[in-house]
Amino acid sequence: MKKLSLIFLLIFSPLFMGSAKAENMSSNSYYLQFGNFNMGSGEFDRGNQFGLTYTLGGTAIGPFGEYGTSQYFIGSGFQYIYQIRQFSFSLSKLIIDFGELTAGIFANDNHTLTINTGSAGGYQIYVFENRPLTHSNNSSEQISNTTCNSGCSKSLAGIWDNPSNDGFGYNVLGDNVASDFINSSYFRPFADNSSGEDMEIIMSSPDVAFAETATITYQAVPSVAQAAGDYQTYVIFVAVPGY
Amino acid sequence: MIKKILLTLLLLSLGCLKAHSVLAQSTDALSINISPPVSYLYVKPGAGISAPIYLENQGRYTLRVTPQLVDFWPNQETGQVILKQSSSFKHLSIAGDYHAWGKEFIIRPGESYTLPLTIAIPADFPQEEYYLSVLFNVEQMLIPDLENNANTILSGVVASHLIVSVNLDGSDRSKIIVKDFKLPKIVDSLMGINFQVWAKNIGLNAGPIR
Repeated sequence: MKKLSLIFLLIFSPLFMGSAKAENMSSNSYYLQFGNFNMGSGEFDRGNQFGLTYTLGGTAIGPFGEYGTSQYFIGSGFQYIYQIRQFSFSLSKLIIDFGELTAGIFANDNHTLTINTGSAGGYQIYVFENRPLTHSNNSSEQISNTTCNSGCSKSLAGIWDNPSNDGFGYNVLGDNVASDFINSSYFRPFADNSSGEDMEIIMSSPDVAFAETATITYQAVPSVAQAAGDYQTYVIFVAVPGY
Repeated sequence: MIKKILLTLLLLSLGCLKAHSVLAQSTDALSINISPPVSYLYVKPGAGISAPIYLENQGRYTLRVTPQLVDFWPNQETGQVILKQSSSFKHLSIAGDYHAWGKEFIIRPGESYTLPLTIAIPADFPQEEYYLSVLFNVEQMLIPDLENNANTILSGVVASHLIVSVNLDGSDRSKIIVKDFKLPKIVDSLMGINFQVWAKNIGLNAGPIR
């Protein structure tokens, strides 16, 4: 009798079960058949140690098509959000104004820069100037690039805290900056494009970066014999994604 | 009392919903987003492909953007990108016009721009991999008086790489080998083991390491 009940139950049980229905979604411009909602997705410990991401409940997780090659690409699953994340680069301001420069007194100004690599594999940030600080009415009159207290170069920072050594230079402190910027007393002269010098790396990482920032401090002091007037230059930051 | 608590909770939850729906504009003077930062493209000789690059101005000011095409080569050991001054690759154009390189365009704050790049490869083109970078020279449209009073004017250049593999059958010709494997001489059984693997690609195109 027990066996008979079991067979009866097996045969007729489908009649009592509710059918499972996948959800279809549509609008005027699309029809998504058997779409599904993940029950959960997200990321743990973003970028610090291990960067684990997860997608739970999706019925067809994976890449469909080939990104950048085929006519379509569908990255199904939370992990593919990195493929569409943008590489971004920001400067907090675009004008550096030292005010009135006086021999023997440092003039300083600073700004921050921020980098997000998005889907790129790391980054490098370079910097160069188009010329040294140059008199607006006399191009032969310049505030020379700094040589620091006792020597520094465009690729190796040195201590520059003696304002009797005139010049123009910069310091960088922050995430993944060049290791020769030991503290805020260390400065480099800019690579001078007008002299054919190559731009120099100030910040780099082979890893994915989330809002990595650095503060660039500019320092200038004219010589005692410096001609009065306005001095100007252009500084260009180059943000290069890794690959 | 219960009514008050419920009303407060309702208002708080509505506040949260509202807060999530607002997209904050960056407070930075220059803030530019670029997508994709790196593209790997397979193109058959005699075929074409589009490779648009999307730019977004998230900063406070209107930007003047000038695109430039250069070659790059990867440092053989670190993989670091080394940019060249120009490009010898003549088959990547802006909407079919190779002379459009260097022509500036404007992006207002909060607006975006898509650069319509197209690659058209001649049928007899050598089957190789080409390393290209599109450099976007980004500067603020300055008011002349402001420009004259500044000591230093800052601008940015942001790159987007295109690695173009000209390949007849679209097959992956990368070949990754392990060139060196280093283990520490002393291992602490209570700590993790750090080891270094030096992989080398001896194939004909870039390949993934899985």
